Amino acid sequence: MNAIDNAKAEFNRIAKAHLREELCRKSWPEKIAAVERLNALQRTLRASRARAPAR
Amino acid sequence: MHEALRALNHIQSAGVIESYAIGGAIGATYYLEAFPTEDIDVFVFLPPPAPGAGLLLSLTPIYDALKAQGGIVDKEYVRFGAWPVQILTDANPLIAEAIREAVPVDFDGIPTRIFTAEHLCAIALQTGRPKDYLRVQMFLDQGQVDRVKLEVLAASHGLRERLRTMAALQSRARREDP
Repeated sequence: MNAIDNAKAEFNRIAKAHLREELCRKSWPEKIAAVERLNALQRTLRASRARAPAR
Repeated sequence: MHEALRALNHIQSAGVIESYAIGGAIGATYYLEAFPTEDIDVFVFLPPPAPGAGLLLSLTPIYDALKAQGGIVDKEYVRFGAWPVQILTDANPLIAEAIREAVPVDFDGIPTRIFTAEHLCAIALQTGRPKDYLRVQMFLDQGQVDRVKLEVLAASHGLRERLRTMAALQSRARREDP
């Protein structure tokens, strides 16, 4: 890895950590609302996979 | 979620259950970042049995009371809106302790109680499925659990070895993917 790659990796690590901290700081009802959205998304994905023709 | 919590609070004040606390993945989301999970695990203390009643525990009165509050029984769950609620009892000393020491919290103005982060981790270690270990790892990685308290708790419930294995796996993962 060269210096630029190292810097990018470090930037990504910090960005991820910051996002995670932000997500942890949200209130519990806000997090539950996010869980509900994630669940709905998962259900939609499962349903569309089930509808997709087998390859 | 709101309807489920209101129903649980109602059956608690009606004496159908002595007390309850939320554990599992929904309990974990109080401390961690949001992640998908399909149900709400509710751990209850049942009221003491009436004199002369048998020793066999039955969850039927709880299910009936939740149905009366608008819940729909669906296999082992009682569904409130999009949320299936699973009722579990204080099946072992660790769970009983977790219910007793649960933390009062507020969900949009509705009072409820959730397991401490340390109890959630200890129960996950005890359950021991890959997804449970993963959850403990999330608590450790996100710095949302008191490591010393968890070690004491794990030791007092015979889980020291599992925690040690978990910590070893975590430090190996860190070395491989810093």
